[in-house]
Amino acid sequence: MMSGRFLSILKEVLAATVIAMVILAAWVLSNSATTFVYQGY
Amino acid sequence: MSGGFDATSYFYDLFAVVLIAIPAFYLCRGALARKLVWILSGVVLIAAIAPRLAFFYLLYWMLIPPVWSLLDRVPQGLARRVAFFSHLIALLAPMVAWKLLGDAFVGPLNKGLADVLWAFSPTLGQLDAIRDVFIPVGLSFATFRALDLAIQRYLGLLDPPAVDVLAYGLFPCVLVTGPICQFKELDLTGIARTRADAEDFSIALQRIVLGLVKLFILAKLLAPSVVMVTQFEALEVPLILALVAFAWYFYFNFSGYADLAIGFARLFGVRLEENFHYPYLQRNLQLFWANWHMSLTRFAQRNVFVPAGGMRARTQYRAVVATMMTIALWHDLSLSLVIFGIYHSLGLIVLRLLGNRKWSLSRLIRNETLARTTATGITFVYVLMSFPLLVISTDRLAAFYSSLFGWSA
Amino acid sequence: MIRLLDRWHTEPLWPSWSSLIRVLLLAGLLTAAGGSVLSNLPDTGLVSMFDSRLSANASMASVERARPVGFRDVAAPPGHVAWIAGSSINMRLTDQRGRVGWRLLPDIVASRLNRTGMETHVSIYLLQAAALYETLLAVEHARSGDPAAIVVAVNPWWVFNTHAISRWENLRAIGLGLVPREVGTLGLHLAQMRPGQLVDFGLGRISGMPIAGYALNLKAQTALNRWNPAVRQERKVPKPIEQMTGPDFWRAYSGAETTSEYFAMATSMDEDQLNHRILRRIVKSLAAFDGPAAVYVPPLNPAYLRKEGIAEIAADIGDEVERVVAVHGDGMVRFWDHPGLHPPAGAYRDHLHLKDKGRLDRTFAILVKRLVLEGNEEGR
Repeated sequence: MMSGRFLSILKEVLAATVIAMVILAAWVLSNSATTFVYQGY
Repeated sequence: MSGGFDATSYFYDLFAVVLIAIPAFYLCRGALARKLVWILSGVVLIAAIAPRLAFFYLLYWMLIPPVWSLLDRVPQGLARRVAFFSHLIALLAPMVAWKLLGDAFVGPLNKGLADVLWAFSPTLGQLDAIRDVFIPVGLSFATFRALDLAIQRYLGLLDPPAVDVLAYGLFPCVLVTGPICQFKELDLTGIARTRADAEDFSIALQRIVLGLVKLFILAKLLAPSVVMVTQFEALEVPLILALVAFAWYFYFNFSGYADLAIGFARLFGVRLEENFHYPYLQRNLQLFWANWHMSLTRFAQRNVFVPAGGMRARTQYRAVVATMMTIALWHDLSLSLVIFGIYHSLGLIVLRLLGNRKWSLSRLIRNETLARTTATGITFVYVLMSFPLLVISTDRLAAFYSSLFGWSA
Repeated sequence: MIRLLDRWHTEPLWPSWSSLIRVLLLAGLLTAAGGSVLSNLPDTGLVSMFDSRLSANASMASVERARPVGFRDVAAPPGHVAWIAGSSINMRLTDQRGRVGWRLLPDIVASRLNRTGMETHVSIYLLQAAALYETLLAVEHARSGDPAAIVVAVNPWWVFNTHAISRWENLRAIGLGLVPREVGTLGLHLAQMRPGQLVDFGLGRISGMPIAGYALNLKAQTALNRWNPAVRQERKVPKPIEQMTGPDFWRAYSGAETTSEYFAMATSMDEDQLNHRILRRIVKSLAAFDGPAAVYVPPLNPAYLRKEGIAEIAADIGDEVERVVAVHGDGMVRFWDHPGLHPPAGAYRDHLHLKDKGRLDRTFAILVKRLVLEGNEEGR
């Protein structure tokens, strides 16, 4: 019983970690602000 | 791959709009109010690209119901049929004009719509003027959805009120990036009964995360392959590698769009049909097309393949060609895409001929796994060889393919 | 793998509200934590091209276009002069040894004042291609830095240009970095930004990640492009219409045969126009400022003015700005026009930007000195 509960918490923590990593990676790789990179003076 | 469209900003906007629209949608209990939430969200979403673009789409979808009521007054028979086909042509016209004329359409469209907005309100005009030039993003999707709706109504399958046409036309999740969902997928008659459901939200979240991984991580990492393929003359690595990378970029990018659309739609309780189902892992070309951009394939099946006689032995090949041409020319109206259509039609016809003679690869290869893998490989390579047609202009095709095979030879 | 993906597609992994909320909250917390780690990495802040070239008496609060950073908060000494301008203050000067380099007009003016014994510190609020709305935000921002005096340049090209109350690329930068101080301006702000930018704007108030994201993204893009020799070629291709920015498109597509003709077409001094309302707001904000302020219109190249009656329009623009300053400035805002502020045609690189400072620094030094002294007399 305890281990089942522990496992489900672990799964949630794992899922949240994956989501956070995906958001951060997506943010770094595709920042909307850089679409128009100023290229010259 | 369209120039002026920036997917990152678009999905960032979609995320922001949905953040407000979801609570608004579930707080409203009435069907009309919920439809208005969709319509308003759709308008805000495209107005973010440029107010004049929102104006364009509003006009496009708002004109449809009055045209229908005019059509209904035309007497049955030939006259009605002629009127109906004129309606279809009118629905197709902006998309055809855009694909044929390019800048010569985009320029006047932007200018003209901005002028109208300006006349309507100078303040709105000035707020609109700072926006970049828009290309009519999503027009191919909108056109095919409008055609589908018009055909289904003509066949007597449905008769939606004007507000439903707008809610379907401006449903925010599929506006710019597809898929070409059918009217019935939105289930507008049951919209008032939709309840916020944790399971729906969970699946939606999972799907959105998957879309983020595909679109903003995998596709982004493979994105340089687009330049590598289109600027192949300057390439230092083998072109075939760039082409394979491009194929995966294309898949991750396009199916990432679909994942996000499907995920966001699920937040409104809408279950959109799938648009991609492991297309590169399919064993033959027919299966590939049944699993690649499936909403377009389904559209072509409903509206081209079946009416053209695809279910009858005598006319099936003609129907295959017509279907593939529709799918090909949806992308662009150019010689390259005509070749694309012929190439895939030929592949499908050969496959049918072989199938009619009960021939399959397992006759040659005894080991089943090996036979499957080989078939999948052949299908992938066959499809891969047609991708340059989507991105290389016709006059550079010969140079591209000789460069591709020159390396392999 | 496929089976796992299919489960991910069809099976709700968090089928109850409580588990869904737990996952979302935890994911949010972890994103914030990761974001704060990332935004504290070195080199994630603003770099300014002028940092190494400025003399000690001027501080830079630059915004490079498209950089979502806003103005840097540079600690300016009390009694500093805030100078708000667009690219008109960039000068490409040749020094005595024949070396060509970029200098900023306010910097030269400050050096000159310091040499003549008046200790002056100028804070430069430079926004490349600042249109009117960005100038307004810069004014509101500069006021909060408590300067002794404010000088504002309004670009004649943009001030009454109905196609460009702001510049899209600048808005991206400003959206994150500059908070409008007044409710009226906030409304204008919201009307111009995209929904996604509003999210950035909100997040940027509580986290450094949106700002750092830009720098990190630029690094990632550069790294990705490095192994792609074809990228450099793509940049040389001229832009088709569909990739043009708004104002560039209106200029290219106005039907005008020359740039100056477009300039005339886009100019409207109608009081109901949004840009006129923004100009009034700028002047009122300066009037409400507890100190002296001046507005000037950097003059256009006289050679350029000879074309097609543009001189009249340019003169009208100056007159209208002067009138707005007189009517809405409550006597607290000066309008600067002086023969010394009009360089000869040979001093220009193009229609607005200078390659020769001529008498400009001397004239401005006198004007700034007078402005600050008047402010002192008025009891500041």
